[in-house]
Amino acid sequence: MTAVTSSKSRNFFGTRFRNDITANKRQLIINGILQLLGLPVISISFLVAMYYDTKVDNMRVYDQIEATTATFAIVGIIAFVISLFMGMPIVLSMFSYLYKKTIADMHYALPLSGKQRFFADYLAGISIYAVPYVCAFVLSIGIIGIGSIFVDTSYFWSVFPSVLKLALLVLTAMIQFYTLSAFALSFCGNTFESSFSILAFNGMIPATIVCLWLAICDSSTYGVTKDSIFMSNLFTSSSPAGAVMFFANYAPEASYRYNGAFNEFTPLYTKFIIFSLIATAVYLGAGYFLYKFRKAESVSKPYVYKAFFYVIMSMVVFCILSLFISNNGVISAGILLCAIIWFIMEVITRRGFKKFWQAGIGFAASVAAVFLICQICSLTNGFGMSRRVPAPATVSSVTVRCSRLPNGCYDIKFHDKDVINAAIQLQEECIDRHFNPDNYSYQKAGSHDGYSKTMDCFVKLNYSLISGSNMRREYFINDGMTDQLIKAILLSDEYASAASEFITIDAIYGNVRSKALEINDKSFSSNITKTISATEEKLIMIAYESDLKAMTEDELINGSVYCYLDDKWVLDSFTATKDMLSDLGVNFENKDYSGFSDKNTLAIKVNPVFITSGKYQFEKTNYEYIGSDDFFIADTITSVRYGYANSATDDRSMITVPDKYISQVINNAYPIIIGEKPLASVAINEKELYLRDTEENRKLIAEIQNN
Amino acid sequence: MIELRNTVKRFDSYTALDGVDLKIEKGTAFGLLGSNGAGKSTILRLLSGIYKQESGEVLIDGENVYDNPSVKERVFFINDETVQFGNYTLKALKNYYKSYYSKFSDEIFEELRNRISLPLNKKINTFSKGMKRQAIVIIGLACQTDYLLLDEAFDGLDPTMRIIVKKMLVDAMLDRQLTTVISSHNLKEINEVCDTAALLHKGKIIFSREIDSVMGSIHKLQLVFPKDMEFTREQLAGEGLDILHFERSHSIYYLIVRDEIPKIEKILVPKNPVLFEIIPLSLEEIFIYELEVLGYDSSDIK
Repeated sequence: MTAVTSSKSRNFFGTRFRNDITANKRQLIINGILQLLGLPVISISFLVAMYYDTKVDNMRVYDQIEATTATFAIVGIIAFVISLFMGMPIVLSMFSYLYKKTIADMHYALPLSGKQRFFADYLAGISIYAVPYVCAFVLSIGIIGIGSIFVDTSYFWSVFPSVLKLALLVLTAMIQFYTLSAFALSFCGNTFESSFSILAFNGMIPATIVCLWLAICDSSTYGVTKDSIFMSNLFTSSSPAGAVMFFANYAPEASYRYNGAFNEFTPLYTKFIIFSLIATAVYLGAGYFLYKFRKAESVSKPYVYKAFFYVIMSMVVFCILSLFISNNGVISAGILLCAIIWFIMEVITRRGFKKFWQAGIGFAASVAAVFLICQICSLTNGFGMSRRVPAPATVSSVTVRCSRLPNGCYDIKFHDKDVINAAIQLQEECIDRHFNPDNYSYQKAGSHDGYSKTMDCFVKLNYSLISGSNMRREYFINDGMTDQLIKAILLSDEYASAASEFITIDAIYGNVRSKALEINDKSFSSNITKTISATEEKLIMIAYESDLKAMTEDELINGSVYCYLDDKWVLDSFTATKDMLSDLGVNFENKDYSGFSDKNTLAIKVNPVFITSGKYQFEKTNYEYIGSDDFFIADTITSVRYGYANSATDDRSMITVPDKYISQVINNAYPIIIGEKPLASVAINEKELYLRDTEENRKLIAEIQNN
Repeated sequence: MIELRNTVKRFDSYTALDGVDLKIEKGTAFGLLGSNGAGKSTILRLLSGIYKQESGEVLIDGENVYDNPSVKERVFFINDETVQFGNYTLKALKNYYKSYYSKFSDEIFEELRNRISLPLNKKINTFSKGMKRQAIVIIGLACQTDYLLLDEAFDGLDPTMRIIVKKMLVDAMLDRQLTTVISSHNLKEINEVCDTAALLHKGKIIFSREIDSVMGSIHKLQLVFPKDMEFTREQLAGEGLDILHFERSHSIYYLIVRDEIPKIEKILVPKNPVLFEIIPLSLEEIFIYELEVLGYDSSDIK
């Protein structure tokens, strides 16, 4: 006779779920209270603060209110953070029969299949953990909604979609934290090991990924930066700690009113959520698999599946040793530290010294594996990562940060093919200069004497690939190398859109905050701050954007400056912007600079020579690694930026401009030099501009020198 | 019907059950006897679906038990612990089990509870050990499952309560053909409650029979033979007696023999014993002598 298992039974999943909720109502109440003290209290605190911000004139009273609301906000934040950590006690409570021998029989004997029991417990725990959060969030939105009657919350509502996204991000991370903890419980059979494994897995997964990344970066991986790990889905989506890092990077972008093109983490949001959910599903599947095959009698064993103990300990050893290796620490000290931790944990989990020789073998194997991984990293130059250049067709966009761009206009995302191609070409040149330094010659500048300053430019390229992954590289290079990239950027529509958002500033007059334009003429001596309305702000942004979009290559290279908005240049060809300024009562047309009063701030330096670190520039990514005292003349001497003239430390003599040439020098000084050598640099009101190599300027400089 | 077929259960390298075959008919009160670590609790946990056997089959009414909720709904297991219910009140515990066992009877629960006067709304961790035991027994009975498995069922109960609980069990067996499987070291109680018993030792079944039959098959003999006659164990065994225990003090022989009385008489009476007395054995004595044969005795303890 063969046994059958076909008889119909009631589905006790719902019964189990309800019983779990009932049995764990204490956790539900605690979590609910913490959540109520969290987001709702924070919301109320901010509403009260904002309300009194506009109502109270007395600073003493205002300070008291601010301190009180800040205290409540801090209490709210602490309660919220504690509630996030409630996932651990909740999961420990839901699956307590996995590590408490006395209650195992009670749970296993119930008329439930393993699948019903696991998923009912899992979902009941999630409900106890996450539902109060969702309720508290909805309540907070309601509070702010009601508060909108009394307080201007327009900013909040303008970023509300981002707030929802952040809330979803937190919910995703909470579910992952709970699931990863449930997974850790599925291979433990004892209270200590269960708690330890939850903390260890939540901590060691991100730590190991970071340490592996550091090991790769430390393998002379040119252009690959350590902090780009924070953009990697492997890091951000695989653990709650990674999600916290993503939140920390994403939240400032999400809360920014101008949710424009210059966000780095915003484009990664959807992918982060998807990958997090996939990782959570993997943990859930793995947890159920282990749960299904673990035996009831395994309760009270430290580890039901001993392999996971070695996984955790190997991760610990890897992190410690790789940090010692990457920081050039004393390796033997690192090994000793690892050995102490390893053997202490072995004694704890073995409850003694039984078969202790196995612990020694395990430790030796783990240490050997770490050294092997580090060695492979080193031999393969970070698995060939630094040589990798994306094919143009595979790039959907590139986010560029370049120190040559005007202040504020960095981290701009470009879909423009010209920009993408220029970025790839620049990267290829950087890699070639790094790996084949002998292909390039550098003219040694001798001593520092007689030379101006180093021309280093920081470039960060972050490619979004069609495949959905991203690739980030950073380089410290010579200014001149970025000419093609800068030109493509300045002529792109996407730059125009982004730059136009930075031409206004926030102005505060007493308690009144508003938008303003800070306008400078060519000499930076007539600083006009013009308060503008929201409509005017919008109009001037549209005007500036349309002028930038209409700008031709010739106008960019050979144009002349009309004025500056903050530090963004307005060329003579920018008719729409000029008209807007004229409507605001600002007009620099045919302005005469002969009466320039700040003469002592004006000086020129003829035939400026800029120096670089030559081949040493391309040895490492990080600026601090450029450790040579030798300086080399830069291949090209160009700049699109105007920095602060540093005449104090400049050992070349500056030539004072005679009065009769002042107007001409100011009119001809130009901030944008692309692909040519300037005749002179012009220091004016602590700004640095250039005189282009034209017939007129040659004659001008000759006359100045003769005077 | 409960059936174990060639069931093997191991805990790491330790074999708790080594090819056990066992049948328990429906409506039986079955006692599981055995030394410590013999495998009694393991059998109960296999029958309640807590453990999964390494090989063989564990069947209830022809169906596998493990991971089979429909079968498990027909089984209620009371283990030898009571601390797991500490956080519940009796009422909460009742509702907990009521939600899983569809035949749960509030009437039976109330009737039994009133009989032993257990408080309904006090936390069970405030109960004495005996009260906790009573609580789970009345819940187990109220669940009205076809099979009730009790591990050290009477542990912690005072003599009066033992009688009450036993009566509850017997009533349930009579009322609705409840099959009860009880493991206990208290052989007297097994003897009182059960009609069938199995003896386990080191994961193997030594015997599984009706208790009356067990008690009728092993006898203690007190013999005195004429002065010129002496017998060794081997001599008597050679004549066909299944001797479990042989002891001689001067002229008096004490024998524990596993045979039917007519057979014993047929072999020994012809030897004209001066004294020939057959003394009935208690279940406890049978337990001790059966295990002594298997090398499980206290004689080695100095």
